[in-house]
Amino acid sequence: LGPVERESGMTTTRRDFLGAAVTAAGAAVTTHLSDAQVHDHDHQVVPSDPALRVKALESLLVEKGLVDRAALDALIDTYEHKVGPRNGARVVARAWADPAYKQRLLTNSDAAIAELGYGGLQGEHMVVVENTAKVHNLVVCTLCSCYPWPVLGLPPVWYKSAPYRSRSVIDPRGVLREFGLELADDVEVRVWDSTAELRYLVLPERPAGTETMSETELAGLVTRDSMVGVAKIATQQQGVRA
Amino acid sequence: VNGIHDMGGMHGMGPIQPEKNELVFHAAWEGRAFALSMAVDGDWPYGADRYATEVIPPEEYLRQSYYEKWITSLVDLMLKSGMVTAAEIETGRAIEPNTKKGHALTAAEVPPMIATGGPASRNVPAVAHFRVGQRVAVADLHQRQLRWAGTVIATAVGVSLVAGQRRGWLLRSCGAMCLLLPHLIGPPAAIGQNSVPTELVHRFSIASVATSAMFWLLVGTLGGLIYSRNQADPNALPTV
Repeated sequence: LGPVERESGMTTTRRDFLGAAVTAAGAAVTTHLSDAQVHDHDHQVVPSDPALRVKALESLLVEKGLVDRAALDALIDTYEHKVGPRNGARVVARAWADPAYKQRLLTNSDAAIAELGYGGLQGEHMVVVENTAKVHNLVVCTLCSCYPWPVLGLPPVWYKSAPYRSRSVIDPRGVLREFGLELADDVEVRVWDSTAELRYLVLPERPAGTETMSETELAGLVTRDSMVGVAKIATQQQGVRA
Repeated sequence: VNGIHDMGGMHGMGPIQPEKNELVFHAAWEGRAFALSMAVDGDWPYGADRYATEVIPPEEYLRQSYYEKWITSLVDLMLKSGMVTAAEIETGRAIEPNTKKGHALTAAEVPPMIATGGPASRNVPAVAHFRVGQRVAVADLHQRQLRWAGTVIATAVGVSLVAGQRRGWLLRSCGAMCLLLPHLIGPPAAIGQNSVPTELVHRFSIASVATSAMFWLLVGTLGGLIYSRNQADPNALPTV
């Protein structure tokens, strides 16, 4: 298991005695607070039918002037049709085709991704990690569902599911096997636990026999799963659908 | 907080179930739930929505689907901020006038909002004092260690001579000399060109002298306090 980056805990920077004491006191107080708030939530009504509940909520908020239906439509349209893994595939293809771009992508991911016009919401800070013959990267968000929206769109259900979130960090090879990817023992697996502020994109290995392909053709080979790290790319494989 | 959301490493959650040709939203309501959460302009601080999801009771957290949790936390936040009331959520009709009117996002504002996002980087105006690879001058390591050990020994000897009982003025004077000597000799000189800004050197000197002074004052005061307590009543039982 490689480096696992976590957001949930404190940062592991130097802390002096006073800092530690304050932290401990703060932690004690926070525990009480959160307990109280958990009890607060005991009254939460279980929604019988989410569809009805959301419909009622939407009409209430529209009536109160808190949301505009046209904005809701625009948001849905954006993530259903405009922002998705095709963006990430273009980034990967460019990195395969242009070594200088790849270098920029690995050293300053945000700026390099922005060169292709992607960035912003839920991908304000992105890091690209490179798969090689000896290193395989796997991305997870154990705490929730953090995912680089500008390049991959909204995460699939399995990425947000308890089985994937719980197991990726303790049994990444087992998880990969479930996706049909068996890694050799001498391949190092690095698991990256995303945070709200820092999201990861895997740069998959360029498959053999693609030397003559154009950048557009290359982009067609790149799958969403390969950019999360749960798959490799085979030449025959079909790429992500637009 | 060690809540249900902190799933990394948990056992028993079952197999992963990837879907073939998964839709972005599995039903229309999922898209509406997503969009509502994105569009509502609440007055809660950054990260409050995340926290509102994390405190959903564990059994509910596991039972609810992803976008159900989004709606649960959104409603929770809006109730707490006073944007809506419980009765309104119950009936789906506006009852109270909207006093905490947030800005209703328009369709035209969606693209710039998505393009900008909410960067988490902070604008730090300070300029780094050093650059990577910059050379700084320090004294020889062995000389520094020698001076440190010498100072400790001289101070210990000095303190025992000055503060010990039944000492003549000569011994006490020798003790005082032992205390002063390492500081009169001074630290070993740094070797090479020092590129550390003079201002920084001054600030470091002041900070280190002040820190040492405070430390020793504290040690002295506490030591004296404990000493005088023990002296006050040698037969007294230790207090718990």
